[in-house]
Amino acid sequence: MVDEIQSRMIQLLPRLRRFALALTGDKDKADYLVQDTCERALAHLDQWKPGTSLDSWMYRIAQNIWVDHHRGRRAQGDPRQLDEVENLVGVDGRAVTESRLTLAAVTESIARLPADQQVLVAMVCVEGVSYKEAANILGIPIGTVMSRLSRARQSLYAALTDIPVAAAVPPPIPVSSRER
Amino acid sequence: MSYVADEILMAYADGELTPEECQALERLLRQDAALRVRLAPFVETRAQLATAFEPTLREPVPDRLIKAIERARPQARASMTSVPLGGRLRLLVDAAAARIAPGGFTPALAASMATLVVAGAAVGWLAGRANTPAEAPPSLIATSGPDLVASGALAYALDANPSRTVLTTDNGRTSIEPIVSFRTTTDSVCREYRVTVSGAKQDAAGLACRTPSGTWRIAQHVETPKQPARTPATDGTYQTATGINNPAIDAMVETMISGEAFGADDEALFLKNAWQSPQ
Repeated sequence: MVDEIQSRMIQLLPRLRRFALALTGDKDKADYLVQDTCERALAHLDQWKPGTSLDSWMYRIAQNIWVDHHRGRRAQGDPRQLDEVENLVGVDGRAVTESRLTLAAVTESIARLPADQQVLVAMVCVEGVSYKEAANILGIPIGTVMSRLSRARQSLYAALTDIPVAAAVPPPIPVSSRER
Repeated sequence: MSYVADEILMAYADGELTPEECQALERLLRQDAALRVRLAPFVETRAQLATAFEPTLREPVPDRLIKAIERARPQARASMTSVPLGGRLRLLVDAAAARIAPGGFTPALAASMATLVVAGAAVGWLAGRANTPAEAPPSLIATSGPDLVASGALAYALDANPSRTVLTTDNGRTSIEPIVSFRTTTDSVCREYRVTVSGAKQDAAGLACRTPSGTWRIAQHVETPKQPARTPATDGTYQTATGINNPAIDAMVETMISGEAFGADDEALFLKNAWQSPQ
């Protein structure tokens, strides 16, 4: 039983690493977060209900660790935090206009969002978790998921394109509708 | 015109609406350019983020993380009897290798090796890479829904190569070698493999399991210490390979294997039978 869960955790590692990278914006920090997540999960295996999604449970643990850490650092006014914020909002940060964005640019934009929005962006846009599952993982109503995520996406879009949303070129009519 | 909330536009971009809701919204989108402008941020962010992070999935997982998971298994280790199966598997593999070695690289085997190398080159060509000065190794792993599956030359090698035969691709830069095949307790067939890319700091090794749809799902893919490249020597002898001997992979094999690893004859039957159980 324990062995089987461990195998499944190992199989989950690529996705957990991707999720953690979206949250932390840094490969090393991401791997530390993944390691902490796995260790905490294994220490509390009794809290996982067999038959429920192991993925969702692990995402929940990862985001809890990350949010705790994030809040802790903010509350203490860690000077490193300020340096990092300055770096993130640096001079060239908003100059991304190419259609293909680098991972660095994307993670930088995510890092500027409030923590509760970052979590949703990582879960839904990066990991492809449904709204319903995200609401379930975070223990919040689905309406909150949608309003938070929608605000996050508009800020991200503005940061990534550096054009005010209203001035953007209209996208083409959805392909699937053309022949209807 | 009715007002459409941002959340609904976002749900459309994320594929969260029912087909009926999609149709209704698409009618409005066709008529209303301003609505299409409001939709753009949601479509764009979803696509950009998914694309930007996707390559992360294919990176080998650092050994450290796998060890972190395995360390926490004292009770499982204690209940294990006698020789750990990973060790047993290794003995079997080495015994099989010893039957071919020492220096016993038979002409038949040499001929089949040549065919495999040619096949590998063809795979590279089919993937449109043979003539490109590839900096990155060809993609061996692809995503399929939530799963990772073998693609390109890795899928080919797992389909067609007997264990302990090397397929080279990417102008000889990438070598892929299935190491051993076995049946799992849930009655599927899995193969351990090693990938060596010349110039890369690390080799990679992994475990792939045959799915009912005929793909090889990657159960594990890890970095392993670099091994000297294995190439047939000019005098026809062949350097005997050591096993991967990666504790993470051994441990996973231990949890999955039913009985013992396939011998050459068993494996040959599976190879002939497209990896279906011989009747």
